[in-house]
Order: sequence, then C-alpha cells, then structure tokens
Amino acid sequence: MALTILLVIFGIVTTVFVQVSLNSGSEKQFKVEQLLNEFAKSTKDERSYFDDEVKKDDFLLQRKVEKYYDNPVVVHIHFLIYDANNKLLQDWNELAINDKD
Amino acid sequence: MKINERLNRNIRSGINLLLSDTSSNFPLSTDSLDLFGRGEDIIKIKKERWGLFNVGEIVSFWGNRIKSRLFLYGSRPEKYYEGCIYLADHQTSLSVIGDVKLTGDAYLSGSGIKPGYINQRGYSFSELLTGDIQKSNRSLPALNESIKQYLFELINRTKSQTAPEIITEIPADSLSQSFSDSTLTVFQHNKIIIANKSLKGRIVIMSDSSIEVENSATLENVMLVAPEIRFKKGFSGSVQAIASDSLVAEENANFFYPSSFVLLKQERESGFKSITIKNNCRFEGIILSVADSLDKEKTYLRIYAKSLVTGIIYVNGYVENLANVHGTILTDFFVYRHSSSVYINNLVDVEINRRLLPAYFVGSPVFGSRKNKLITWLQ
Repeated sequence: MALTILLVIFGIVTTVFVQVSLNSGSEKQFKVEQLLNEFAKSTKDERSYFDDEVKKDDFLLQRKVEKYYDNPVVVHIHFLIYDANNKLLQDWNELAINDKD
Repeated sequence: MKINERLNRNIRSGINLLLSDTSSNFPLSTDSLDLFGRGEDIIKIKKERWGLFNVGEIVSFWGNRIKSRLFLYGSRPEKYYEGCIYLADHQTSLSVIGDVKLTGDAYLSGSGIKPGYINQRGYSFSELLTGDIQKSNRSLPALNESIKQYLFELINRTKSQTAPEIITEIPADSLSQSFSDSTLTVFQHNKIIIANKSLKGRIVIMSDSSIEVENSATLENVMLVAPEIRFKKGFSGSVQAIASDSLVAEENANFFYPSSFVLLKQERESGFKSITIKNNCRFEGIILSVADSLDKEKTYLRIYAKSLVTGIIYVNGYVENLANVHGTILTDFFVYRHSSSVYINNLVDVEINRRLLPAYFVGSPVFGSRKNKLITWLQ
C-alpha cells in the first residue's frame, strides 16, 4: 500500500517536472521568435538595411545585410539571435526592396 | 521554426524580387529558384500582363508543403505624372475661367497659363496654379511600346478569334476564375449584353462589334475587349475596358480602383474615336486614349459635369473636361464648348488636384516603370 502511494507521488512529481521543463522551453522559444520578429519588423519599417546588432534581455540580435546578386534594389538580410552563451538559437533570411519611398 | 511562417517569409521575398523587376519580359515563368543558395528556400515566380496592370504569382515550397499568393501590381509612373496637368506644347497657352482650381505642378507650353474670358466671365481667383510651371514637350510623354503592342494585339484578336479554348457563351450567371488558372475567354461575333451576371477574376469578354454592360451585372477585375463598349446607367464594378471605336459610361456609373478605360486608334485609321463619361460617374483608375502622333483627328475624351475621376487621364488628342479630377491629366488639347463656340485650351469651373490622388494609387507600367508596387491581392 505504502509502496503504491510512493509510486503515485513519484509519478505525479515526475509529470509536473517534465511539464514545467517543457513549458519553460517553449516559453523561451516563444520569446526568441518574438524578439527576432520584432527586430525584423523594425528593420523593414525603418529601412535599416545595414549590419547591426542589438542586445535585448539575455539575447543578442544581429542582422547582416548584403546585395542580392547583381540586383540593384534588392537586399538580402540575414537575421540571427544568440543566447548569453553565444549559442545561435534561430536565424532566417529575407529579401527586401531598398529604395527611397 | 514554423513551416508556415517560413513559407510566408519566402513568399514575401519572392514578391520583393518580382516587384524589383521592371523589365518588359512578359509573360515570365521561372523554374525553381533557390532564394538563398542553401537548397532549402525554393520558390517559383510567374508574371503576366493583365490589361494595364500585371499579375504576379509566387509559389513557395518547403518539403511537401506548398503555399502561393497571387497579386495585381502596377508601377509608380515617371515624374511627368506627378503634376496636375501635362499639356503638350502646341504653342498655345492654357486659359483658366471661372472657378478653376489647379493644384500641383503643371507642364505647359512656353506660353504658360493666363486668366481667360468666356461670355464676359473671367477667372475667379488671384492665383492661377498652386504649384510650379514646367515646360512641356511637343508631344506627350512616350508610352511603353511593348505594352502598347500588347494592347493592340488584344484588340486585333477581336477580328480573328478562332482558338479552340474559346467559348461563345458566358457559361453561368455567377463565374469566378482564379488568376492561377488559364484565362477564360468568351467571344462572340455580334453584340454581347452582360446582364444579371457576376463575373470575377481571369475572364476576358470579347466581341467583334460591341459589348453592353447592364447595371445588373457585377464585374471584378475582368477585361472587356471590343470596338465599342457601353456601361449602362448605374453600373458598379472594377473592370478594364479596351475598345477601338468608343467607350461610354452612362450616368451614375461607378468604376472602382483599379479600373481602366483604354481607347486604341490604329495607325492610318480615320474617324471619330471617343471616350464619354456622363454625369455623376465615379471613376477610379486610368483613362488612356492612344492615337498616332501624326494623326490629325486623334481621339476625344468628354467627361460631363458632376463626375469625379480619381487617377491618371492620358489622351492623345482632345479632352473636354467638365468634371473634377483628383490626379493628373495629360493631353494635347483641352476643349471647352459654349453655345456654338469651341474654345481650345480653355478650362472652365473645374478642379484638377494632384495632391488628392490617394497614396495607395499605383499607375500602370504603360507610363514607364520607375518602380513596381502591389495593388491588390487576387484569388
């Protein structure tokens, strides 16, 4: 009987631990995506088509901008986000039009 | 990373790549394009002409997932279209009479602009123009030759329409053809009356004589091609109408953006070719009337009072304008008729205001493709 109760408690504790771990992981992933999305949006809204990096919370956001082949108006932007240990968490590429209006 | 977001991002990149292309290579369909050279972000790009505008399609691939978007796009026109008036230099001045309000730069002959008098009535205001005056050339700014050729080919097809994929009757009362499908062309050797029909999308209605559109018809993004096209009183819709003899919008008709009226007079063709927009009409888009520069008669546009045109009016010939225009007019001559007299290059009681052209308005590459812009999403 006591053994059964112990096993049930152990099961519940294990389940709670796994859930908390998973949630904190997905919470972090959500935060990473949110930060990178905001960074990409402000880059395009402000037409900031040059290399730059910004620290936000414990993350480093980076963008690398280069010409897209020989296209005179399109730029290739590489967005990246790193954690405090300089580990790349996510990145993506996008093309934007770089002109005056 | 979510696949859907990646597909969407690659579609956005593809749209930007397509909008950056101002070349005249139409139609164009690419094979698979590896966007970033990593073998992961694959798209296909397609572009085709659709009347005065273009249709773009981007298809994005990721594994076995596919997503696509279709859109109509046009071009920001050259600088000449940024004024309120471009009056070709035929060595006559522009006279303004009554409550004329011109806002925006004006391209005029060396004789410029002056207050005039008709029937002992002068100009009501002290300032002739809110904007700068610039010198115009002897002819209107050149149109894109390959688009002109495409438009003439469309009208010439009404004379020899024999392809097997063409049908002779509108097959249903309500018809929607996706722009990702092939064009649905309806052709008849006689007058077509469009009544009690709802037509949407990639549909071309062609006649070798005339097309009449009743106000019970609903048109969205379709093209009409015939020598004569007439929209009956109270019609509403967005449509591109391409004619070779006459185009008429009867009273209270509404043409939503992006609509277009195109009148094409063939080289060495004689006769009176005209566009008429009657009272109380609203027109949002482009009115284009083309004739050869050596043609003496050219073409004629008449817009009646109490109508409003929002967009670009380009006429190789004569414009008799009694309506307000939010946008720009490019023409060889203005005409004003009073009693039995005809006055050349006189404007009376109209407002032409370039600054009231909405920011969302995108022109056609026929006016020169300085920069492409998305107009609307399509299905």
